[in-house]
Amino acid sequence: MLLEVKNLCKNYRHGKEQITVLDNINFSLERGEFVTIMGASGSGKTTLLNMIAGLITPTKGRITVDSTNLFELDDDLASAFRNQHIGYIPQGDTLLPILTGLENIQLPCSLYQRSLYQHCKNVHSLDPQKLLKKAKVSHLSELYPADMSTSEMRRLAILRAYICEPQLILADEPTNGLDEESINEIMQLLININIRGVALLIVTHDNSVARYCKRNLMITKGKLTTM
Amino acid sequence: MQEKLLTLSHLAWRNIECRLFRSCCLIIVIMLFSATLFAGSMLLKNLNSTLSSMTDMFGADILIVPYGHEKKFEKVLFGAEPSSFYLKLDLVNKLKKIDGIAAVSPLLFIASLSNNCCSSKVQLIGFDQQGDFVVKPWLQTKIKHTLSDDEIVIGSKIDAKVGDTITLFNRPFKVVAKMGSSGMGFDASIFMTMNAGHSLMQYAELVEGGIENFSDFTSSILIKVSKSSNPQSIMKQIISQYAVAYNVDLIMTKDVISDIAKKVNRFNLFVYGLSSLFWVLAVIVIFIIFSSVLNERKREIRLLRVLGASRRMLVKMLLRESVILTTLGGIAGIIFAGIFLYAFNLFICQSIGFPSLIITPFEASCYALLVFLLILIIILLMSIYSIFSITKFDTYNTFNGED
Repeated sequence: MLLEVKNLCKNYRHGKEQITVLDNINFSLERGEFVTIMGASGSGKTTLLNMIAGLITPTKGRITVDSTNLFELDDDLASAFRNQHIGYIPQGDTLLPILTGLENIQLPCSLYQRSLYQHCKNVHSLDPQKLLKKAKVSHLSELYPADMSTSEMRRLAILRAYICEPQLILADEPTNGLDEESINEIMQLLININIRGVALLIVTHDNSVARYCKRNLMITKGKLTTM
Repeated sequence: MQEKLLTLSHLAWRNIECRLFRSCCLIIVIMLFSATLFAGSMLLKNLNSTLSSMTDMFGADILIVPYGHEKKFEKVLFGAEPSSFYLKLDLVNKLKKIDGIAAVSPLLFIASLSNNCCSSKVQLIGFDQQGDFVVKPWLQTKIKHTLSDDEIVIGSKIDAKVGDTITLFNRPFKVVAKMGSSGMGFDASIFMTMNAGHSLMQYAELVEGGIENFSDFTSSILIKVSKSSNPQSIMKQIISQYAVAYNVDLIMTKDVISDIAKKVNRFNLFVYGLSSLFWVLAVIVIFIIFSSVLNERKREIRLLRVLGASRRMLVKMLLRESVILTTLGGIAGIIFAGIFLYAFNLFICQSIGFPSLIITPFEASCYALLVFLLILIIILLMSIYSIFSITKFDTYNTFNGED
C-alpha cells in the first residue's frame, strides 16, 4: 500500500466557532492506482491533499506515504521526502514567473542540488528536451509563464511534479478553467504518467475527469464516500 | 544544451532582477538610510575631535582680548574668519607680577591679504618664543630649533610645502615646517615670531592712529594660573586693576570651551535627533516594504514549499535577497555620502562654523565598515521577522482556491 489515510480529521477555529473541514476520513491508495476525489467547492478536497503532502497538520488521525508518516519527521526530512516521493500540482497557475519553462521544471531537482540532465538520464533514460517533447511542451522551454497559455502552464506544472519520478502525484483541479480539448490533453498526459507506475490522486469538481479514473471517491461536507 | 544549475543564490538574484522596480525602490531606501548614518557619524566624529583637540591644546585659564572682541577671538580659533585686533603689550609685564599667575603668553593676530599660498585671506599668528605655552608646545612637535624672524610654520590647510617661500605684505618668509591637522583655525594659519608679526603690522598699516612703535601691541594675552590659585579670584584682581585702563575683556577659557561644547552638543543633539527620526522612519518604511513584498510573494514561497523546499532553504533564500539588496544600497549610500562630504567639505564647515573635516581615510573606512555592518544587522533583523512569519505558513489559505 502506498498511501494510507486513517481516521483523519481537520477542525479550524473561527472565532468561537469550531469548523470541521474533514471528518474521520479513511481510505488507501495502491501503487500505480489512479483515483479521483470529487466534491463541491468548500468540501475539504484541497485540505485533504495538503495534509497528504504534509503541508497541514491534521487535528486527528494518521497519514502514511510509503509507510512514512511525514508529521513524525522534522521539517528538513519531511521536505526532502516530499521532494522525492510526492509530486504536487497545486490549483491554478503555479509556475514561478521569474523562471523559464525549463527552469520551472528544473526547480525540484535544483532545490536539492541535483542536475536535471543527470537526473533525467538516470530516472527517465531521456534527456530533458526529449521529455519536454514527449509532453508536447518543448517549445516552452525558453519562454516565461507570462507568455504561455493556461493549458501550457498546466502541462509544465504536471511535468514539474513528475520530474523527480515520485511514487505519488497529487493534483488539485488540474483541468479547472480549460476547454474540452485541453482537458483531454491534460488527462492524457496524466494517464501516460500513471502508466509508468506513478499513483495519481486527483481532486476535482469536474465530473468529466472521473471517466479517466479507475476509482472515484466523493467528499461531501468533510465526509468521504465511495461513488 | 548547457544546463545552468539553479541555486538558492540564483533564485535570489533572479527575484531581484525580475522585480527591478521593487528592488530599485528598496535599494534607494537603504541607500538613503546608510548615507544619512554615514554622513551624520562622520560629522559628529569630526565635531567631537575638534572639541577635544581644542581642549587639549588650549592650556590657558584666562584670556584677555580688547573690549568687545571676544567673538572675533572665537572666529580665529575656529578659522571661520581671519581677524586683526590689538591691545597694549606692556600689560604682559604687569600681569607677570601678580601672585598666582604661572605663565603669560601674548598672541598677535594679523589677517593677511590674499596671496599665492591661499585662495582667501589667512590668519597670521605671532607668538612669543620665550614664554608661549599655547602654540609653541604644538609647533615643537614639528620643529626643534628656535624660529628666526624670516621663518614661518604653516598649518595643514595652507597650500605650500617645507622649503617654499611665501610672501606676506611684500616680505618673503621661508616655510620650515607644516603642521598636521588640528581641526581648529590653526590649520589655516601661519605662525611666526612676535617680531616678524610686528614688522608685518607696520607693512600692513593695521593699527590706526599715530602709532610709533608697533612692537607695543599684541592681540590677546593668555594666562595660565598656578595650581594653588583660583582663576576666578585672579580674574577679579586683573579686572579691578587693568580692565578699564587697558579697555580689555577678560574671559575664562573654560567658559569659551564650554560655550563651544554647548554649541557642539546642540549640533550633536540636532544631528542625533534628525538621524534618529530618519532611522525610525527608515526602519518602519523598510519593515513595511519587506513585509508587503514578502506578503506579495506568499504564493511563490508556498509553491517552493510544495516542491520540497524546507523552511531553512526558504529562510536562506530570502535572507540572501536581503543581504544583496542591503549590500548594494548600503555601499551606494556610503559612497554617495563620502562624495558629498568630500565635495561640499568647505560649504559644510562654513555652515556649521567649524574649520575642516579632519577624518583620515583609515578612520573613514572604519566608519564605513561599521555603518555597513550596522545597517546589515538592522535590516536582517527586520527581514528575519517577516521571513519567519511568512515561512511558517498554512498552505490551506494559499492553494485552497475554490475549495
